[in-house]
Amino acid sequence: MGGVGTLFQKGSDPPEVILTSDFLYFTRFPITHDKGGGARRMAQILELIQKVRPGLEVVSSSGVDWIPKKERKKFKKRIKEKKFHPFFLTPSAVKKWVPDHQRFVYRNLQYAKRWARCIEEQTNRCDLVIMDDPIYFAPLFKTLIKKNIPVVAACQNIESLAPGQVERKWAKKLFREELEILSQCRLVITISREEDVFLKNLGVPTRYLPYYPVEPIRKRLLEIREKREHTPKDGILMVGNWKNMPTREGMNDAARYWQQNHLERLAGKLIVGGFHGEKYLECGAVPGVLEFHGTLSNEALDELLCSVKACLCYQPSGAGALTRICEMLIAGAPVLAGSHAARSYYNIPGVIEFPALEDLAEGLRKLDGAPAAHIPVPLLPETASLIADIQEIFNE
Amino acid sequence: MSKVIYFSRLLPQEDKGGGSRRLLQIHEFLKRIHPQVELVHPWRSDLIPVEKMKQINTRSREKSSHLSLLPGMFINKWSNEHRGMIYRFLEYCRVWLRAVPDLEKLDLAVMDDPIYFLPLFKKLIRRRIPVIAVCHNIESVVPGQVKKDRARELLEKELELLSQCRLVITISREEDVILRNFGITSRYMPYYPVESIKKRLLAIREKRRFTSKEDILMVGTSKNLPTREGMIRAASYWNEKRLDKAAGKLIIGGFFSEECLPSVPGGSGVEYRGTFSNEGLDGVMEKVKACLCYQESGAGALTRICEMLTAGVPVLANTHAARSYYNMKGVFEFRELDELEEVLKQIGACDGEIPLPPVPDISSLDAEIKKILH
Repeated sequence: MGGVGTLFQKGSDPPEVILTSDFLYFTRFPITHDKGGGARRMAQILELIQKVRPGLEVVSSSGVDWIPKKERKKFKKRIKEKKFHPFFLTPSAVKKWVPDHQRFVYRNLQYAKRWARCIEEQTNRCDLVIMDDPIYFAPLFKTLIKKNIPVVAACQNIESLAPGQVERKWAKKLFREELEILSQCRLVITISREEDVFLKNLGVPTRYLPYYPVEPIRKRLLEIREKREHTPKDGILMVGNWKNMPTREGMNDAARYWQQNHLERLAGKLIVGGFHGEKYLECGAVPGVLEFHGTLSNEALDELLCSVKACLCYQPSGAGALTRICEMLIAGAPVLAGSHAARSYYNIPGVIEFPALEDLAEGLRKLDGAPAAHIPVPLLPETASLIADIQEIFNE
Repeated sequence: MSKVIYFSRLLPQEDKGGGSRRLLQIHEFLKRIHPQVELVHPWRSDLIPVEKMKQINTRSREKSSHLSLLPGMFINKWSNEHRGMIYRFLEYCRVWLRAVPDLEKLDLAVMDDPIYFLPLFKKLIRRRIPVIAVCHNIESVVPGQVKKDRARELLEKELELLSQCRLVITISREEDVILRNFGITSRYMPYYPVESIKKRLLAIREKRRFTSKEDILMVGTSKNLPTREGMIRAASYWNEKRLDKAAGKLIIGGFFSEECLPSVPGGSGVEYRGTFSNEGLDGVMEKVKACLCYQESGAGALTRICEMLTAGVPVLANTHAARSYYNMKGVFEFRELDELEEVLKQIGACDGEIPLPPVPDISSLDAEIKKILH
């Protein structure tokens, strides 16, 4: 990633944290576009921001960025050891999340606290901070607001809305807290049309920026599109991150439904894959009906994408929007999507929406009828107004 | 035979605003499942004695004017303009609690946005009577209805209520997605006009095949804050940029426009028509190039977009106004007003008829309600 500040690069150990840029991006994702949707989305935003103003410094909690060397050992130990026994007093902010998510939340809060201290120590001023979902970095966020530094939030999901992350009984409370935080941001960039509409009504200044992959991914996808023109098509592909609760539930439901109703007779076998799939797939593979691939390398995924009839996305719930739908469309593969999974992509050519699993067979039939052979490449999102907004914040 | 009541806050009349039309659609749908569904709404003073009604209405006027008289934390959280209505509905509910015969033996209660019917809702839930909410908007996020600093608090409350419902029927795709993520059983049922309205719209569609087109229409209930503000902004932009030269006049009208749009910037490019009669509106719709919808905020979804499309009128809508209708044929979306001129050129270039919006698929909703009833 070009133009990233020196502190981000691993191996360069600054004696202590000194701001090398007046323009920062705090994230919880690794800076690579090869990982899941979150990292890809961040890569998109970085690509855009670099155009507005180069010299952005990225600080990520997936590395040890901005943790001074002498503190690292202790810091790592602390975030590792923490166990959340119900009887221990854990910070209440952490307790509102489900146990599976608590360690993640705790880790990010610890980073945010340390980073907040770094910001406090700085003498030179910071012009703008971009931050993924600020609820995870609340202590840092508060410091920035106190110091009157404008914060732009990159809202990957309204996090308290993402099912399977939050304890049910705390969901509404946490949601209110998150809205409170977002309303203090100068701007919130959303990936979801639905969340954008909702936040606007609460008076939060937002810009909807649809997902679109960065250049290297785009290139790969367009190559697949090219190849698909000449390949015979068979089977339906279903991929996703199995660690994500709604994705996992949806994929398990769809796989089970596929087996029980012998949908292979309509469209060939269902090919299932994705990160962590080995651990979570509930129904076994059946030759000719359901094929299981586990974590797929880029090459393996590309190859599959060249030869499948379509992709299937099914989620009974979930926040944000699915990056893979846009990617599949660029690759020229039609997408069968359940109504909830299709959010932010409604009525787009190439997306065949089905309301419930019982309607999946109908959707598969549409696949044969429609001239699915040629799906238009989704339009590049318009970014001028977002760029103007960010420019304006700089100029203040 | 099971007993079902639909408690509504709107008037079941087709020549009223979007809310009423939506109510008609839902009521007709419910009648198909359960022909004996009884509609109870305050405007006809259903089950409310005339004297009591008068008393409530007088007091409600006082409530909106005298801040100091306002009791009750709940009412205080709503905006001054909306508070009278909140008070009236709380009072109607209290009357209904006593007046509805065999309330406790209901098999199902259907209710428009339960936050307005709190006392009634609570009683029904306590008695374990299943409640279906008809969500016209998530009310606490409608701009102009709620005091700004209370919005998030009320939202939390409203979500709490909705999560106690057996089912929530939404008109908005966006709200459906949000509610589902809270674990609320929600079904999106797009707006579609009832037969009598549809017939009128199809007649317009037919006539439009032979008329020459001029001007742009902007119609809406101007009592609604986002609609009113949108109209004012669009009108002044229209004048300022002299868009009438390229696209003709901007004709503005709709319910309450006499009261709510009194001294808006005039100018030769914009014409105010006030409240339309049915015939008046139909006549305009036959001849306009397109209909303009502009809102910078607003919850729910706009019923008029579906109606315009049914009548074969192209719709120009900014991103927020186009919610629930994204990427539909006949809807020309623009992000900001400064893109309006560009979009106006596109409708000129678009040939051929606008396809009829699809009739909503209600089979799963139908099954869901039958399951609750039996």
